[in-house]
Amino acid sequence: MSGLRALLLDTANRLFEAATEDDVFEGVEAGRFPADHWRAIEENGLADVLLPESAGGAGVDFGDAMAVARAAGAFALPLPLVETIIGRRLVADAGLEPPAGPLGLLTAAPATDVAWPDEIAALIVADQPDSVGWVAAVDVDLEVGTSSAGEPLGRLRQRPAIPAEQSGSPGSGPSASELMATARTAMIAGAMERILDLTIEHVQGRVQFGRPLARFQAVQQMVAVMASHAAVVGVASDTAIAAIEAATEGGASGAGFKAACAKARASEACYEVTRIAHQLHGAIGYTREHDLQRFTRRLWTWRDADGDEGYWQARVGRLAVGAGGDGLWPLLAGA
Amino acid sequence: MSLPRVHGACRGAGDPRHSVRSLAAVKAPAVHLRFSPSVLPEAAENLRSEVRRLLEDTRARGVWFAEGLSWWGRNPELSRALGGAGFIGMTWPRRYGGAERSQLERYVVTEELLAAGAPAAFHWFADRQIGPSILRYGSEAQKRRFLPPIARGELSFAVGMSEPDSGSDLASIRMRAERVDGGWRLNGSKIWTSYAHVAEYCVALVRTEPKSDKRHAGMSQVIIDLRNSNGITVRPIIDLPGRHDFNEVFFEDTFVPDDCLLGNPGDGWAQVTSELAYERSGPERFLTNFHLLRALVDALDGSASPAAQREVGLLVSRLWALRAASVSVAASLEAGETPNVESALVKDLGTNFQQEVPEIVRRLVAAEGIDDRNLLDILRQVVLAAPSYTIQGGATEILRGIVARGLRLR
Repeated sequence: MSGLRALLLDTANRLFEAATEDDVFEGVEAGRFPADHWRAIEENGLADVLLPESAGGAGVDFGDAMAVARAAGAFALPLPLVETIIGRRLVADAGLEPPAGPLGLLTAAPATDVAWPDEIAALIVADQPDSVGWVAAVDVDLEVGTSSAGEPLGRLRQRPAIPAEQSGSPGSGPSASELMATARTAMIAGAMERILDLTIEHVQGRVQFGRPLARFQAVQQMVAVMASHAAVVGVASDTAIAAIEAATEGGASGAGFKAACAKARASEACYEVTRIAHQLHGAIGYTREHDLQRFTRRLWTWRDADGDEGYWQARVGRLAVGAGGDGLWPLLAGA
Repeated sequence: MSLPRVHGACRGAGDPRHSVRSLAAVKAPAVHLRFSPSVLPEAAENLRSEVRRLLEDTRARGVWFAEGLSWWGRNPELSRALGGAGFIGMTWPRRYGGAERSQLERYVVTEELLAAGAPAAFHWFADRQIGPSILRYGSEAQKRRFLPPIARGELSFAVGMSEPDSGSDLASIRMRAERVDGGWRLNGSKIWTSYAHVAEYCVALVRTEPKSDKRHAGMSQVIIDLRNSNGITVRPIIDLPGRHDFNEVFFEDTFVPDDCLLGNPGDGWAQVTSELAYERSGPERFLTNFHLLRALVDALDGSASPAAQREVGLLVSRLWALRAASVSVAASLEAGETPNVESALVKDLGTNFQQEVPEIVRRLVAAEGIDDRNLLDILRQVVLAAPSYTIQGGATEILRGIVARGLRLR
């Protein structure tokens, strides 16, 4: 890990830990936005990590920013941070001044849900291949509901009109939906890692029939399956990130295919990972008193966010069928 | 990446209703399986087109054709062509017939053979595990004698591990090797020994000392000349699809000379387990029925329904992720590590994936009304082969036990 990334993660972990204390989560469940924690995160530059230095950003690479996204997942961070990080970058690439404050982001993926609809300052609209723009939140018509994780979620009633001076041509490189799919995959990977930790901790500590659950072969096999899914999602995430970095640097392409595969795989794995984690935690895991639900409830939201597995599988499937039998292997092997 | 742990897993500390609190506070070490993302280096990628060209040329000349068996098919002529081009034993030193290439270059060759469905069993076991074992543990004379012909694709080996009473519990083997004048006398039998009826040699795990309290002690590996030794009987075992590649091999006072012992007497267990990562993480654990997926994509063409496209996407995205994990293990092997836990994980997920492929294809064939003779032929063969995937080379339950141990649950 580079020194810069270590420094960045150190800051992120400190801020995310503070932003996920018990009292903050209680407020979130009641629909209260943790504004002071958001401010701290913004003031420390985390929302600007992907902006070029000329635009006031940290000038870190995509992999560093995605390490922050993974950490956000590992803390079940209840804030629209990745949307803001990617949204600001998209706007800056289109030659516009990125809006301040927490942002919503509309991409070509079908889920148009916007986290914290009453708190965002603006909505970045990047659902078309030929334009990127933004609209102030007051001009966006959102129907407010609640996510599985208990956070307010807004569904767009109508696609907003974008003022001409707040619109531009997108930069080259991966699309908004592919960037968000990759970022969401990183968050899912981070949350799965934490769920695995919690589960291992539980089965080692919980004693039944005179021995820790971990001593039962049936339990060992279940944890192994869960760990396998979590590990494969982790490497899928890292591989998609590396492909996007290469694409941004004008290197080998295939980033769109890889981002699609990664989100399809990550969303799909949420079922097995959460199912096994809850089964092994027993009744205590099915309560708000235990932290497990912070992570599992978010996985159930994030697997649908930015396109669920069905959407990304269909994209992968179209590419595969389009490639035909002879083109299938080159598509997979990227050569 | 390592993150500080979140605060106690369960709130309500001190609340007498929740005795779980104190137990949950026992901190597990954050043990994670490590898969560093890896990209194949340019040298390896350059090799890809060379392998493809050789496969196309030999296919055009009628040397081989893609059959339902995929790599499990055995074709000495193709293996000789691959050996001649430097694609067997390619990581070994040049003085033993190798090409001193990297593990990642070998990885590319292997996956290209699988993707093409090329019959490669003639050289597969020697290239994958027996050659590397000889290179690592063999005497100078053994290396000079065996490695160059293996690398030329002229010498075929069978693997003698399981016995009638020792399947997953390999350490319980009974076949004995007794010290006699000038060599060893073998008694016992090996089973599931693929291609023992046609291979020139077999490397067998045998007991050179009686069983003791130390389960893994007293075993050794011997190289047996299957064609020119006394007291060997090979009994064919027809497998579920109706093929003959399995055998039971009986040894009755079979004599092997001293120079056929591989490595040090008593080190057999360590020797066989040290090669497991190569055996388990390779692309044959998820690409064995790639020809079925390929035929499916061909049969679907542009008329595929959205539901069919999603199913194809499900299979392709899983395959892509498995390959990413497998490439990562190959890079870790190249770096000199022994990622046995990660390899067990790749084999478990990969073989389960392979087993699911024909079931999903079946559903699609029915739902989409596919009537493609080629696809249906392959499908029928793959359905019959599928139960073997999760048994050979380490059964699912054993692999998950290894992963659980890696997570310090056992």
